[in-house]
Amino acid sequence: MPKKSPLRWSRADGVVVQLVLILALAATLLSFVFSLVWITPLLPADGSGPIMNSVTVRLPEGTPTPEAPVPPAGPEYGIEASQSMVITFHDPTTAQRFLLTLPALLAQAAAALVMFNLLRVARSLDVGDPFTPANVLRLRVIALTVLAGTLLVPAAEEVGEGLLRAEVLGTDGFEISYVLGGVSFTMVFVSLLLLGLAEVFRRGTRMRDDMRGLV
Amino acid sequence: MPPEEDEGADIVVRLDEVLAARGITLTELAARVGITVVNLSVLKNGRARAIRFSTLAALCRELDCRPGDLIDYRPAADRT
Repeated sequence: MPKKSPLRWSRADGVVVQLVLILALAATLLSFVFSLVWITPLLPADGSGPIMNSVTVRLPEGTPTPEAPVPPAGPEYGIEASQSMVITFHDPTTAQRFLLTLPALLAQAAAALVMFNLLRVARSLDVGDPFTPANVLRLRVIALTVLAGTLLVPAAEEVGEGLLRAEVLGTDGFEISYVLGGVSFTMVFVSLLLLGLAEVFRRGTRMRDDMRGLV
Repeated sequence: MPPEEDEGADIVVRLDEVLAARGITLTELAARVGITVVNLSVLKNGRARAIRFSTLAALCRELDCRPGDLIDYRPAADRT
């Protein structure tokens, strides 16, 4: 009798994965609700909670470069002072709270959607029938959610920080080049791989349908 | 013509007729052929979508018949 591979997926693996996903999904949804409530003045915005009431933004154009606390260059190193500054909002308005939490809200919503669909896929493994049209759709949703999150979260960060900076310093809003610069091309590649995996499941579903009713 | 365009045409399975003629039960035939009673019942009731050649050959061997005795093709026009 051939030996069972130690990497073979067992029922215990399915239980552990589902448990982890349920806990992570619950935590993410709680964070999402907390972030939503934080937008309102119901919660204090003094920086003591999990949501930061400050943003790190670039120095305005034309601002003199700050001096580094040590000599700027030596034979073996070079030092540059930071080109950014931190703006802290002690009593942010609702609009400012929204801009401060928007990236987190988008990331939490995307993470929750991905985890929910992964949980449904894991449950189909328990039933022993993963090659279904429903799983093809779930994998596509996961892939597109990862892609959307990869593009939208950095964009929301940059747009939010730009608008807040403009409001405080009276400078220009934001630049498109900086918005695109925050995109992780690794995650874009991951989402394309997930789309490929969805296509594998689609073909597997079709092959499974061909085998159904075969005697 | 692709299968899905040949609406109404059907493959007819005459396994029940051959079983009756040979005096063999479905359960006995399933044991001789080496497939489950459930699968053989699926075939007998016309719910099978495909049959392996190995299964067809085993059925013909045990029932002492030809494939044409077990399955037949009925064009769409003949069903009206």
